[in-house]
Amino acid sequence: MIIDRPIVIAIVVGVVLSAVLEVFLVDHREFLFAGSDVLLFWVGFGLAGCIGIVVISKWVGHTFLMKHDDPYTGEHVEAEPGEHGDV
Amino acid sequence: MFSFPPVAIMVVAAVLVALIPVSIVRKAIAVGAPLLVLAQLIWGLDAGDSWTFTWLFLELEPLRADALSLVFGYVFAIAAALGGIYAWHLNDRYQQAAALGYAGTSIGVVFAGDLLTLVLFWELMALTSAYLIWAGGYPGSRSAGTRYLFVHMVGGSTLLAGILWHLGTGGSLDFTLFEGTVAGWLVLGGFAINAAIVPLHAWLTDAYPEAGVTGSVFLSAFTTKTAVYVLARGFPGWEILIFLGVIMALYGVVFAVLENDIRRLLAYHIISQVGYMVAAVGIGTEIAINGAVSHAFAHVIYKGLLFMGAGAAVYATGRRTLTALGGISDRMRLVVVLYMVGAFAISAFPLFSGFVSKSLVIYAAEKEHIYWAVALLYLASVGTFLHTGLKLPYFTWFGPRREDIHVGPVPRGMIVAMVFAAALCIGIGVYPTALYDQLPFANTYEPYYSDHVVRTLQMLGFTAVGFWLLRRKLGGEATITIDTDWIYRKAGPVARVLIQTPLEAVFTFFERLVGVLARRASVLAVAPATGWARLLLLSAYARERGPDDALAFLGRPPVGIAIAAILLTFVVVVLAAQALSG
Repeated sequence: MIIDRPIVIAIVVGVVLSAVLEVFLVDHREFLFAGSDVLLFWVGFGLAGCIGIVVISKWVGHTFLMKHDDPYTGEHVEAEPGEHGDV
Repeated sequence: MFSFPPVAIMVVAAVLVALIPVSIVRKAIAVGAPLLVLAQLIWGLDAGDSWTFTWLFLELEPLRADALSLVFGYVFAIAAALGGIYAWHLNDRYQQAAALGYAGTSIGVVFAGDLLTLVLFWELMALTSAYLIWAGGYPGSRSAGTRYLFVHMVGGSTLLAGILWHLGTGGSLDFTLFEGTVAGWLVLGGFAINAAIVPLHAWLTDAYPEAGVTGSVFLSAFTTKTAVYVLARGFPGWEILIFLGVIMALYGVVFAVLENDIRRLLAYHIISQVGYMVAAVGIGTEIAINGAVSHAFAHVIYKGLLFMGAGAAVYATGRRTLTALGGISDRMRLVVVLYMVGAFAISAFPLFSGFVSKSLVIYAAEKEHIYWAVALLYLASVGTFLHTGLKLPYFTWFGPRREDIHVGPVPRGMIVAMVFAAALCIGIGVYPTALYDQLPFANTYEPYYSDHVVRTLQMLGFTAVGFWLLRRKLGGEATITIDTDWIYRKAGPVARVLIQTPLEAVFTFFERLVGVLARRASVLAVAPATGWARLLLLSAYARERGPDDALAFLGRPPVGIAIAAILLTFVVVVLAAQALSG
């Protein structure tokens, strides 16, 4: 995965801004669970959580759940269904 | 004066809508009736109001108003009115009537004070909502609606079995707390199906996308939230619900990654969001019940808005999958903006409704030191923003402009309903006291404090970064994802051979037997004077020539003789009975 330069800059700016917000704005840090009160924890939680959800879900889906043929009719699933419901 | 069941207004409105041929009047009723109910709930009913009557030997209570039922009543009336506005373009009186009936019976459930009234409205809710799926008009609508009805009939039967067991073991007809008895577990099973608790959830994602765009807006509001209501009333503090709720919150997120149909993706997020409410009911404290109720309230509005936005895209383009959409944002700007309000609300961004309701659920878990649930519910929040706030809008509307997609006009009613729903999402987020004041218990929670706001912005902001990095992996794929409905859909043909066919054979046999007996009895009734011996003769004749010819052959004897024969038969029977008795 190649990360574009603007994205890298945006991430760096985002992390710095988050740290500044956290240090100067948060007057009382709440303990939710182990590690949740570490500086920039929620930055990592959001990023890692997002990547983890996508990677694990896709793996489970491609390995077990997603079918190119309809398991109930046996027909190949079309990319363009072209269905127009009675809306 | 106004202490009567609000369901009555909705039922009368549904009947009128089904009968009135003038379109504009029907539409006005479809919007006006829920608003009338809302006015009744606000100004005509107070907590403590009740309406009872005796039927046979049963004391039934179709109206029991308290803080819990009233808050659900408010949001159901609002949702029905918004749905009526959204469906203003619709000229299908039966769909309009079904939608009103569905909303009305849902309101009937939340005001039912006894279990019999509850189960009656529960079943009617399933029937009326099934019609909305059947009326969807897609190739899969009829079969999906039938499967939906089948699952809900199983759920309703389980609920009824639990109620009868409860009554049979000395339980009261009043709808109050259930205990961990067989009856309690059966009732919980019935409620769990409507709440779409995993693995009993697949009816929802199977059926909702097969309804029409207006039908799915109604469907998103009522069934699962009535289930949350009954769980909150009957099963608060049942610990198993915490585990099941957290599983739901994550399960919906995982399957939403795989989904290509935009309304099915949103349907998976209903499961996820209802998971928060179920977990809160499982925690069972006053804060947690407040969290479940407030999240249900906020969810009805923002999920309705999301279905409205997705439905507008489906309506305007005739397409329903991520792979078939994209590149049309410049032709649906207002819809995109309004959809994004719903997306920010469900993702719990500060100043939107989900922020003030979802955080109450998580706060309740935190107060009870259930830290694993706190962590996993936050993780589910990441997934929620990823799909409804980023993936769905990005692949539905954004990307390079696609000229091959024809974008038709979106009816004004759709836009107006979305504007109202969006205003409510922002209004609740900006001024949460308006919602908190309606909750069943006094609220002391304040959602806006620096740590909470900064934490949420950091988490969701970097979820967006993660999405941008992985966006090429997140596009829709033209596949079908297997879910737990696979079990009963695959089992259907087998069950038909093993159960339905033999049962049908037995029914057919007895049906014919009863027919034969009825024919012979009718012959005896027409000609009692001829006596049993003649009947035997007649049956032999009937076998040869048919029963009608046999009766014609017999002829009708004079009335006096018939009466004398009937009296004689009666005397013989009485004498025989006396002789036998002793």
